[in-house]
Formats: sequence, structure tokens, C-alpha cells
Amino acid sequence: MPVNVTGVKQLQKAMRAVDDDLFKEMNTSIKAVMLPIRDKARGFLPRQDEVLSGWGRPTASVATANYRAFPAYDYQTAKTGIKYKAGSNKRNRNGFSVTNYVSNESAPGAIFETAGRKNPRGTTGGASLNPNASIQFIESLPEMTNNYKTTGRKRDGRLIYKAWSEDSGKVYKKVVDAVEKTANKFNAKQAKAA
Amino acid sequence: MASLVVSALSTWSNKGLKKAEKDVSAFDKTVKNLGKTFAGVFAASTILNFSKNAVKAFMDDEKAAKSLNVALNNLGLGFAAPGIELYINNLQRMTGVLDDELRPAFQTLVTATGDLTLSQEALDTALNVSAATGRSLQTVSLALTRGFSGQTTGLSRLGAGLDKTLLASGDMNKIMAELNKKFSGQAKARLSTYAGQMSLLQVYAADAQETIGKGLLDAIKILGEDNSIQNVGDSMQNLADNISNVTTNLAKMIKTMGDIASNPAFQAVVALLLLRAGRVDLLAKVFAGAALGSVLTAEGKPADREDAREIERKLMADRNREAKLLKTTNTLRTVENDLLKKKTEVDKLKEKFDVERIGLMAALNAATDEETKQRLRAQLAILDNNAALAKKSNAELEAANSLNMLNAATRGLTLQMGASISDIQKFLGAQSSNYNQYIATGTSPSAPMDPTTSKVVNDYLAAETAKVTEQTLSYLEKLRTKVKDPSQIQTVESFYGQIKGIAASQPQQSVNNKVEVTVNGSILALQDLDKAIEDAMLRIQRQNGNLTPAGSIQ
Repeated sequence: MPVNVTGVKQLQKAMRAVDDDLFKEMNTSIKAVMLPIRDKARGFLPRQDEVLSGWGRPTASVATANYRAFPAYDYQTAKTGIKYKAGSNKRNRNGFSVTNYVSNESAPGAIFETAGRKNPRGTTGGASLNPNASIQFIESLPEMTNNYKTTGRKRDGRLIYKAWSEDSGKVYKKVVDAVEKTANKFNAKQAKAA
Repeated sequence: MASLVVSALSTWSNKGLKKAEKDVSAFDKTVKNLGKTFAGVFAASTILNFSKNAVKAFMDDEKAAKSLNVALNNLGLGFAAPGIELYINNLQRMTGVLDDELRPAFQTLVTATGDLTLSQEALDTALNVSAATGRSLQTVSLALTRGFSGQTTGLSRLGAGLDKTLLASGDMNKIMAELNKKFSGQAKARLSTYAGQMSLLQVYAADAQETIGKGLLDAIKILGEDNSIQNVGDSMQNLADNISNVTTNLAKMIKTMGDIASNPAFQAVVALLLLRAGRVDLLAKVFAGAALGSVLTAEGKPADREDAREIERKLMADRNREAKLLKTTNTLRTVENDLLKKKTEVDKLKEKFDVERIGLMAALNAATDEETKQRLRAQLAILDNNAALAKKSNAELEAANSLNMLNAATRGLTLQMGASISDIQKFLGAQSSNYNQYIATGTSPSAPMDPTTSKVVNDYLAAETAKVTEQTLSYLEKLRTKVKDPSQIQTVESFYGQIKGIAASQPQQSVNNKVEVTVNGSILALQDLDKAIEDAMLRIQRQNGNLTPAGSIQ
């Protein structure tokens, strides 16, 4: 007996209420699609010796400083910081949240991802004695994807956003397919149950 | 850093908005809706916003209706779609619950049950349960849907107090029957409340909005010759402006009509015409229209609205406080009654098993003398806290005690006096014997009793006897004032006579008899005689233990 479910959220809720297995199955399908994104993003990370040598070393005062020192790059931290999560994240101020997402959660990973996004030519007046430190740091990093014209400046990046911009077309299709497939199964099960 | 995310699935939740909406009271919302509809019509932008909202409301409504239609078609129940739509429209007016909530609930239920009648019954039950428990219709209908699918856990969380065994059985017929038994009529009852009336008003407002939205869409279709957004937008703007102008003119017209209607001459003419035509219901409508007019006028005075709302809030708070106090009073009264009831029962039981009382009653039955009985009665009075009986027993005991004291004192004095007299007689006899011996044998007595000493002794004895007699008489008189039954004691005469007899006979006997005293030299003066008497008394006391007669109470 088919059920007309509008939206993924309603589908998820309905599945949780009636058939939890289908919900898990859908999550598994989406995970299979999203994990390559995560892995691809991780692949964009530079090795430890590929970043500026100063960034790769923690500052000597990191243990004693009473301020938060600029996070040093650590490949392992940045790598494990790129995660896939099946749940939903916190709603933003507009009420939107995402489910089954890939996130970049580590500080060095986030810096690598977004450095120069707001100011491509860097900023002046930082803590460094080198007035060109900012631009030199940005220029040492790989090129950032440029999705400004289509999705806005906030969608530019070097890791997960880059991976997403390259593969999102395929991923969207696969995710929608997975959802539809699950919905069909759900409807079929309901029909059988009735 | 969790803000750096990519995902294909994003959802929008209106949770925050709903919370904010809940914070605003139903009255406020309704007033604002009305305000938007009536008071804010003069602003073109408001018209535009209202139009957009109305169109959106209509689109959502249509979408939900279509969704339900599709679900019914898929179930093979498409033929019943118009009937279901009518049913939902009527239901929202009967229960004050918006069709936006009723449709999804019904759709869920009909999908789970596949039966129209059962779904309608389940929806009615869900509405009643929702009204009674305060849970949303969606939650209740979802729980029922799960119940129809065999999962009754959700039903147990509704706070409906369903039996666990019943839930475990999974028999939805029985569960529904139990729910109907418990919550039947709740949805209808809710309508009689202030909140229910507000909900109903919201239903009508929402319906009106949807209807307006439909009209606007139709108008847009007519106005926009093609499908371009620009044309539609321009058309909407023009429409909004036109509606604004129309509303302004309409308001002017209403005001003018109001002025005319408020004219007493006009009212008299209309009333006369209506009465003549026998159109009483029309008259009622006119008055209803006047009432509406006053409501609309009130809309334009925010200060008045605030005051009214404040008064309403205060009244509600007072009512709540009063209800709480009444509830507390009732609870306390119930507790007090229970305690009193328990105490009475306990007292009864205590009396039955009061060993002390049982012992006293047995002793009272077994007692033979009146005094013991009086004592026992007094103890019972103390035990029962019987003031009257205690007073009576107290007086009687006091009287008996006085009597005993009198008896003891009298007898003691009599015996003491008798013993003293006897000793004196012995002493005097011995003195006399000594004296006679002196006369017969020529042995000179050490100190013969002179007439003066003899007189002093006799006078002393007479005085003492008189004292005892006086004291006894005073005791007897006191006793007479306290004891009602004189037969319980010896008569005054008999006492008096006895005492008088002793007092009269003994001294006289001593005085009248020829006393011959032989003094061996031990008594040389009056003081020696006193000492001799004193020694005799002490000796008697030492020998007999006391001077109290046997059998008397100390």
C-alpha cells in the first residue's frame, strides 16, 4: 500500500515509526555514496612535509601561552577530522539542517579548506612580523575551487567542498535514487501489510 | 568546525518558529490575524503579504488534499475522496482543529488501516485523546497507526492510562473501545472552552485565507496572460493596489453606513419596517452586525486591546488561584475527615481493650463497701475524663475522708485521755498507798500531796476534757455540713454523750474519790507531776506503738 510521503524528513520519520530496518537500509545506501566523497576529500590533504615548514611545527610557546596559538598542521588530525555522519547536524539560524553529511571538523583541516576564501589576497596587521605572511601562506596552498558564481562564496574550498563540487552531480543522483528506492520499498511493504 | 559540511540531504525545521508561535497566546494570534485582515488593509504592502500568505495557504491546502486523494486512490478508495473532504471540512468546524492537521492524521490512519470507517473512528478517538491529554493530534494518530501495525508502545506513552495487559494483547478494537470509554466527548467539550473557541476562530480564519488564496490565484491566472514571473508579480502588485483601494473605499462606505445606522431616526424606521414585515431573524442579524462593528472598532484601539488582555489575564490568574485553593481545601478536609474517622474507630477499639478500665470495672463490681466503690468510680471518672462524675466522687471522697479523720481523732483523743487518766489514777493510788503506809507504819512519806496540788491536777484534767469536748463538737459540726447522710456517722448526741460522759465521770471520780497519795519523794513540785504524766504518755506510746484505736484509718 503506497504512502505518499513528501520530503526526506517525513520519509525518515515514517520509516522510523513503521519500519526501522528500511531506515537503516536507506542510511546504508546513502553512506555508500557519501564515503567516497569523504575519502576523496581526505586525498586532497597535503602530506606533513608538503605544507610550509613553519605551519607544520607547533610553536614553542603552545604549551605555556595564555592565548590560542595558530593551529599547527597535523596530517593525521586533519585526516581524521574529515568525517561522514549519518545523523543530522544542528539547525542553522534559518532552520535548515543536513543529514548524512561529510564534515571537516579539525582546525588545521578547516584552515586548509578555507584559507583565502574571504580575502584571496590575505590580510595585513596579523601577529606575524612578516607583513606578507598572510598572502604567502595562501599562495602556498593549492588552488581553491571556484563555485562563487553558482553556489556562493561559502561553497569554495580545497577539501570537502572541492570533492563535493567535483562529484556532487553523481552523488545527488545516487542519493535521490537511494531515497526513492527506499521509499518504494517502504510503500511496497505497507501495501503488503495492508 | 562542524559548519564545514556537504550533503545531498538538507531539511528545514520550523521548530523554532513553532515555539515562538506558541509563546504568543491564541488570542493574540487571532487578533493579529484579524488585524492583518481588517485593520491592516490600508497598507498595500500588507495586502501583498496577506495575498502571498493566502496563496501559500491555499497551495498547501490543495497539496495536502491532493496527497490525500492520491493515497485514497492508491488504496482503491478514490470514490470516497469527495466524502472524505467534506468529512474533514465538517470535522474541523466541529472540533476547532485545522484541516492541515486533520488531513495528514487521517491519511496516516487510512494508510495503516485501509478502511474508511475504521479510520474515521480512529480519527475521532485521536481527536478526543488529543483534547484530553494535550498531546498533538499528529502524535496521537501516529501512535494509533503504530498500534494498528502491531506496535502499541506509542500508545502507552500517550498518558491515557491504558492497561499494560491490554496494550500487550495488541487488540486495537479493545484498545479503541477503552480509549473511547475514557475520552469520549473531550474534543467537543474543548470547544466550550475559551481556547476551543479561539481554535474555532482560527479554523474559520484559515479557511477564509485559503479561500482568498484560491481567488487570488484565479485572479492571477486571469491577469497574467502568460506564465512569466514578472507578469505575475506585476499582476499581484496591481491586484494588491486595487484591493487596497477597494478596501479603503469599502471602509469609508462602512463608516458612512455606520453613521447612518447610528442615526436614531434611521434605526426607528428600520425597526418599524422590520417589525411590520415580521422579519425578526433579520433584526437579529442587524444587531449581530452591530456587535461585529463594535469588535472591528475595538481592533483599531491597541490600548484598549492591551487593557482587555490584561484584565483577562488577571481574571484567569484569579480563577486559577481560586481553583487551587478550593482544591487544597477539599484535599485537607478529606484528610481531616479520614483522620477523625480513624480516630473514632481507634478510640472504640481502645475502650474495648483498655485493661485498666476493665480492671477498674471488675474491681467496682467486686467491691462491697461504699468507700471503695467511690474510689473506683473516681478513678473511672479520671480515666473517662468525666468532669461531672469526678466532681461528685471528689466531694464524696472528701466527706468520707473527713469522717475518717474525725473518727480517728476522736477515738485517739478518747483513748489517750482514758490512758492518761488511768495513769494518773494509778499514780495517785500509789501515792495514796504510800501515804496510808506512812500512817500505818509511821514511815514518813517523802512529800505528801497537798490540797493545792490535788486541785491543780483536777483543774488541769477538767480543762483538758473541756477542750477535747469542744474540739470534738466542732469536728462533728463540720462533718454535718459536708455529709448529706448523717446515718453514715455516729450521732452528735452519742458522741457528745460519750465524750461528755468520760469528761464528766473521770475527773469527777478523781475529785470526788478520796485520794490518798503516797509520795516517795519523786514528786516535789507541780513540774514533777507534769513530767510524770508526760513520761506515762511516752511509755504508753512505746508499749502500744500508737494511741490510735485499732481499726481506725490513719
